[in-house]
Amino acid sequence: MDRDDAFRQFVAVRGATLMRVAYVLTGDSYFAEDLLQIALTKVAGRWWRIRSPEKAEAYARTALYREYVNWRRVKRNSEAPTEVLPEPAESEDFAAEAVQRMTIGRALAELTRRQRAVLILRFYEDRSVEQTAELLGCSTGTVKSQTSVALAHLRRLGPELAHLLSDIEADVPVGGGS
Amino acid sequence: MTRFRDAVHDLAEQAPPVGELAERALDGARRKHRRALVPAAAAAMIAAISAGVLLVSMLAVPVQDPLRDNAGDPKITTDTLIDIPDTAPRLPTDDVGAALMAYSINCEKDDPSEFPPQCWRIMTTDRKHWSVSDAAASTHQDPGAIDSPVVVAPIGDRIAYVRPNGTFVIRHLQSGTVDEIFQWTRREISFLTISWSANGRWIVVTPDGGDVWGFKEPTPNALLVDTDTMDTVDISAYGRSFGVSNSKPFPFGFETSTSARGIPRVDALPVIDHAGRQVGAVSAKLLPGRQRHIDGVTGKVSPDGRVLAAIGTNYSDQQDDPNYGATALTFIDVANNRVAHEYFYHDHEHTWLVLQILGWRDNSTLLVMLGDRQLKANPDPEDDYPYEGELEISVVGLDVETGNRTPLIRFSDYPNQLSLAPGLLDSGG
Repeated sequence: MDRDDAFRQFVAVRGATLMRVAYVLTGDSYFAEDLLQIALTKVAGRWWRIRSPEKAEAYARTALYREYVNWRRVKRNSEAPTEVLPEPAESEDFAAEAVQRMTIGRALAELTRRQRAVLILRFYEDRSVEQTAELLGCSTGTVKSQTSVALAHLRRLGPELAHLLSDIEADVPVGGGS
Repeated sequence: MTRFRDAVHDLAEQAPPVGELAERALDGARRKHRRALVPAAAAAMIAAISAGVLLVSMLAVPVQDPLRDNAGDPKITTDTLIDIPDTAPRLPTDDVGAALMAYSINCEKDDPSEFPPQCWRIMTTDRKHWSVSDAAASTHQDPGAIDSPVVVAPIGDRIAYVRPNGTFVIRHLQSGTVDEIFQWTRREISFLTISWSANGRWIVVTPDGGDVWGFKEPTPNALLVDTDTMDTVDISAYGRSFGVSNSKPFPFGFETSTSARGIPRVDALPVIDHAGRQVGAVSAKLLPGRQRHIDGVTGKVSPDGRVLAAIGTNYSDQQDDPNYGATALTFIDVANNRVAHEYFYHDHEHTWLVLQILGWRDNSTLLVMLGDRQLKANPDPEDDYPYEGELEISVVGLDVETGNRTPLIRFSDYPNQLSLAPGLLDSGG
């Protein structure tokens, strides 16, 4: 298997997982594709040095998050910010799930990119404060403060979000961010 | 109840397909390479020198298997007492080493409810207990509805489980990374069977949905997962999981027909290969107790795929059989369609036998949970059904040829469900 085939295989196996990260970061299918393509281009350019799929994935994730935080091409996520969030979901049917996706998507769009990246790393990828700081290239203090500010902002957006956040409040005391 | 993590995972499922991104990324990298050929060549030279230095330094460090101690001995040898603590911290994404076992217990020790909420944990080889907080489990809101296990890989380096939103994941305990393998609906994950092959390459998963024994209809989305490539093979047509062998074809589940009176019965157990093709069958007449109806039969295939160990109640046609009504542990020779060994275990007057297959330590040793539950008079005078009392149970290694048992693990407090890393246990031989 030549170098390009090894890279193609890496994307075939891990691409979907990385795409999900790109999607929850950007909240938009087209931007997610663009963001992941930029990250994968960096991986492809260094494939001869990266070699192992594990290293490639770690490198791709770092590129994905850092590129997202520093992305200048897209000024804002595609969702229109709103003061009024959709009605809370009452049951587990498809409509309620769709409303919930809109709720969480719009709420995340209200955050800064760094705040959103911190929340996704902490609570979607289950990374520790230290790992999040390392991946974003910032201090653990910045991660804690950004987490705290982001969660406080989400709580202010509506009772439905405060309800959703109850599972991570145990990990992140209000105002603490640790 | 949906929470933030679940909501974000649910949002992530809306992500678009990867499509041609690999080709586009390769094209982009080639263009970039052509634009910066000279700096890249310089970087390549530096990298090559760095790699050489790294290789030399790696060669100087003795390779150590992190899952075994320095002497290479198994972590559990014989009759080891494991203390189950009342609480456990949340599993971090840092390296926690290898997991010797995963288990579920009641979240609150004295919860009086009929279906108390369950909490999943792992215990690592340094005897630390960690809570796997994102594993699906019964809750007060959903009592008894979800009974899907957290299952440890053979050498304890990974755990496989399903999240409350139905995502089946493999968590790497040393890197903290998570591979998301498949998405089921919440209904489908109620009773999930997950088995690793002994070499850690394959996982077979069967969600039984609301139909616990899964014999009425083919189970939805039964999967064979190649963890080397994360490719999945749909084996839904073959029924219910009996585990997966390392490389040889293995018996999988139930192939059923319906009797003239409309009672589902077993005709054969399909033997399938790792591509999901049926290549043979094992006669259902070999099942424990020669049962043609299958409720309660559980089993696990050996690492080499040659033997199926199965447990069932011995309801043979001959009621003067001294083992009638006993629990039968039957070892079926898959290739030759015959019973190789069979052992019977009886309830005592004041105890109920508990016997459960945990897996194979190797091709000659089966790991079972074996014990007795004390029976007491029911405090309700209207109900003469025995009241279940204290449980005495241990993990033993059972020699297939002789039936001899070697105690391996005792517990201070008994887990409700248990999965072991067989590679970290002594054979007990």
